[in-house]
Amino acid sequence: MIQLPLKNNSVSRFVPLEVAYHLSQAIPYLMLFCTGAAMLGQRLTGTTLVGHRVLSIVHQIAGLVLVVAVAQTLIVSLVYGGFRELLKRMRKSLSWGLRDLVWAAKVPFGSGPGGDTSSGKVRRVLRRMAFVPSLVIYAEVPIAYFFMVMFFPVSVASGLAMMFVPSALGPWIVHVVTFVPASIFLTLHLYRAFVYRKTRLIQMGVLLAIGIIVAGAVWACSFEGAKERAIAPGDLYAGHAEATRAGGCFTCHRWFQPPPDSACLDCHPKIARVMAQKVGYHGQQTGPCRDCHADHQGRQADIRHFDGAGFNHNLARFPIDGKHRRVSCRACHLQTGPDGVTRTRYIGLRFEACTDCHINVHNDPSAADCRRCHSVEGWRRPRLAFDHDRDSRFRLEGRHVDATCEKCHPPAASAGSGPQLYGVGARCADCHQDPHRQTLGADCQRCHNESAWTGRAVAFRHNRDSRFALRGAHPTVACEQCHKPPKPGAALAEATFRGLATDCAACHKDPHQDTLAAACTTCHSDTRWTGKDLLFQHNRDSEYPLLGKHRAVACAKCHKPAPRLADAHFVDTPSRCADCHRDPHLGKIKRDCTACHDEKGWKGNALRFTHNRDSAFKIDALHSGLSCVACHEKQGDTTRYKPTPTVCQQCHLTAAQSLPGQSAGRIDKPDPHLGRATCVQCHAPAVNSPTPDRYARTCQNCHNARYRDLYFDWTKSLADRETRARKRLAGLQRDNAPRAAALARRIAAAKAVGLHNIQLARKLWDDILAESSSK
Amino acid sequence: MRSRTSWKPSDLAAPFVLLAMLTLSLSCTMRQLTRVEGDSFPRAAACGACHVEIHREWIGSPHARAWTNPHYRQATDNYRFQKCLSCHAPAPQYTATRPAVRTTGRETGVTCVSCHLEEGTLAGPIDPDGLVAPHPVKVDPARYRDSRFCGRCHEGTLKQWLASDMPDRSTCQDCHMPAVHRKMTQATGPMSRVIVAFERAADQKRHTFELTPQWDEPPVTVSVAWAGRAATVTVINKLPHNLPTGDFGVRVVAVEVIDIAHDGGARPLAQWELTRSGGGAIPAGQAKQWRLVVPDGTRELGIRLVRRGRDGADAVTIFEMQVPVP
Repeated sequence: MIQLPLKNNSVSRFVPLEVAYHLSQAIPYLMLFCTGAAMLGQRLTGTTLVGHRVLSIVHQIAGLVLVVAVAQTLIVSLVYGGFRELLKRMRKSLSWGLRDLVWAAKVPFGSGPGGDTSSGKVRRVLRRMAFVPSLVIYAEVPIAYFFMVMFFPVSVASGLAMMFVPSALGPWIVHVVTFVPASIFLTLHLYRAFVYRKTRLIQMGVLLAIGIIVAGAVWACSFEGAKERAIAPGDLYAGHAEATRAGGCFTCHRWFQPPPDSACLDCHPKIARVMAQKVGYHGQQTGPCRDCHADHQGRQADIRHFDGAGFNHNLARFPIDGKHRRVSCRACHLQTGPDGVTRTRYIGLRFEACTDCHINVHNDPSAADCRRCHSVEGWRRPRLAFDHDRDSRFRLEGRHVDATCEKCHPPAASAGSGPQLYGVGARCADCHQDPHRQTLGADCQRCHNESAWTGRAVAFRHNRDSRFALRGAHPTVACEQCHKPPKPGAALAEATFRGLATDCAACHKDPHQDTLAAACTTCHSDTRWTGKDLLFQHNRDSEYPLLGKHRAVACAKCHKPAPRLADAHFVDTPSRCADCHRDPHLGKIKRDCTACHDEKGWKGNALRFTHNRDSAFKIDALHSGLSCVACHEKQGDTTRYKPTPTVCQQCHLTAAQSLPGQSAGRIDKPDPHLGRATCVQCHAPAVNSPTPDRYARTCQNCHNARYRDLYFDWTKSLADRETRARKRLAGLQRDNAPRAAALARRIAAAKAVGLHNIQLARKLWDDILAESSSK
Repeated sequence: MRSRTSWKPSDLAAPFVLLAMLTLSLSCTMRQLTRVEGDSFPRAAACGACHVEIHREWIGSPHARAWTNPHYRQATDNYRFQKCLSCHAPAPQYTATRPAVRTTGRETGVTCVSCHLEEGTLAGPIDPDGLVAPHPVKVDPARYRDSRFCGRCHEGTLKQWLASDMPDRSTCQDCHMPAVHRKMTQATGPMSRVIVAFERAADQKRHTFELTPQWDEPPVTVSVAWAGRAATVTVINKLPHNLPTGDFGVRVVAVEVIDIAHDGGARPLAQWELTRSGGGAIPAGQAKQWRLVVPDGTRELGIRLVRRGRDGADAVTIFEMQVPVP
């Protein structure tokens, strides 16, 4: 038991912990009550002393703090054992009957437990319960306890529901209604707390006064619609108020759900349609309607939130660009509906064709697609997007570019409509006259183009477009020479262009007196009759081609002369060699002259004899550098051509001897290549002056890659010996000339063996070195 | 306190100490068998002290003459060409990626250490089972029974061997080192006789390195088909390498056809050469044919397949047959 210290005359009823518990609940409760009362009062009276939003936030915070405080109290009571007592009193409060109410009514007037102001009795009562939290103190007043138990959870639940299920009507109504028990509870609690009878009476009086003032204020301001005001957070928009007059709150609201969009769309079918079709501005919106169009903001509140100037028209799928920016909304949106009323209309409108707003001044239905030429930047130049070349069927080229528009597009007959842009003929004859008297057909463009009618601009190309191509000298002839105008001085355009003969004889005479049967053009060109321009080519057109030196012979040497060459003989001319030339071989060579000679000349390089073709021995790359006499010896004043050796060994004697092992009388072992490799396997006939590397690869081809190195090893090894031998030879030449000559011969012999018999060569060199060093 | 046994810990250690001393002394005395000091390698003669038969075989083998034979000396211009030297006197192979030339004892050619010396040990394909091994032994049968081991020097032949797609082809060692069942070492005195007596015989290889070994079934066969008096001689090479093979020197195999019973003795009728170089050899598993019209009066042909050395000397007959003329 807690001993309560008494100081002076005052009564200290609670321990500080209990006071703390009490305050932790009382302060949020009072805040809840006050803010709730303020919100309700302001609504009922239609006044705004404190912002509704501020009150609402304070109210919510206070509610949450109170929930935490009560929970804390309950937990403490559970831990310290007061919970059982709590339950007992709760049961007791639930068994409350009519008698108890009567008793309660009498309490303020002295017959209740608080009526006795004896401090001793109070202390006795309180002491008995001091160990439980102060919450339990209310239980002395069962009605208060009852209200506490009943309304507190309901109030919390509905309050939370209001926070998390916006605009659901059920929680809203319940929460507002809980204001009544909350008031009663507070009143009773205060009443219970005021121990002095006078204080209680004053309290009752004050409460009565407040009640009368509030009721009066409500009645005075607008009792009409108080129910709606008490529950609704604000006045409905005027139209909505009208629309919900019959249906009431439930036209839009539901008990436990937020107001569905269907409630809005039932009355706004156009919006419903565009949202269903996903067109227009609303077609792109998601989320509930109330996100944008929350109501209860006053009769005259603008719940459309439509800002005409700031509206992002792109969202309505009609970007406002260019000149459209300067147009006021009403210019397009002031529309007369099917109801005949003209006002601004936004929903469900479609502006697709320009002609929805603009008039087609071109008087032609095919001009309906304005955007082909016009853009929103403006109708006229320079904003006109029309490009005659691109957008019309008639490209403007040449002189047409410079022609004024009116020449082809005559101005409109009547005012108000544009020039004639459509239906203007595209053919030349639609504008121009034909000077050819229609002899050349209607298609002017075959010859003429837009740059001009005459001169270079005429697209007619005689060589391309007529059957008679002008070549050679013909292009220099004046047109009138062939196309004679009908009368002198008349324009060329009027001359005859068709049906003229094209053969030479139509204009020219034959000087050959008809001896040549062929057509003129076989020999003559358009350029000139004679000289270099003569088309006739002896080599191509005669049976006797002029080659080599024949080309330099004058024509008259063979074609017997006449005063003019044109009159000479051109048929039955001599063609055999002997007809003109003498045989210097005096008939010894039976073959035809042309077997060895041709027109290039009789001798030297002009001789047609080719060794590789005409003899049995082919001159390969190895032999190509040799002179003729290297093989064909001169014997007196004749050269021996037969018999000439054709086998390698017949000329290359040393190599042929080295392989079997012979050199300068010495006989040694044969080289392994003897009889196994042919000369050409190492000495490729196609290669002139082969490199050492090539020989090395030749070794590799038959043996293996290491023989390539062996080749170089041996050549170097033998070359070293040769160098040493030659050094000694140089020494000997100073001292002993005869021995030097002998040594030189031996060196030559060893060198001649080369690699044809490596071991023989090695021995020869070693012998030379051994002998010369020993002496 | 009375002890029930006279064993002391030191007594147990005694045999181990003795064994250790024996091992130590043996390894000390025989270290020259595996030691490589500067340019000095163990000599074949030292190996031959125990491996008597192997040494004897090797002495007569081409490997022993690899350095000293005159053809080699001439072909390298008296040992002048460095690239030839490494395979004719190879240094031990254990580290080298390619054969290197020894600096000492070159005259012993391809000698014991060339193949068997590895760092501080002697390697081979057979497990030692003797009483004592005077040198450390490393056993690596996979390496020593592989043709590639020989192919480090005989590269061309190895290439042919690898390219021949014969089933179950023999390795180099299968033919050129004939199998023999014997002990690894042979006794030369009373002491060694005791030690060798403890050794068991095993399947080994002769180190003769024969060029033309003996076969149960000749791998190179010659056959003759007749059409009238025209004979078609076919040589089939069933060897797993070319006929002839070898990378260097003069390698010639000749087919000689003689008229055996001619008046006054045999008369050569034809001779065809197979040379290693220039595509003249018969690749492994392939055949080559020649045609020959036999002259009248010939009743029987003698056909010989001959391996010839340089200068036509030291010819060895590989195959010989007599064929009656139908």
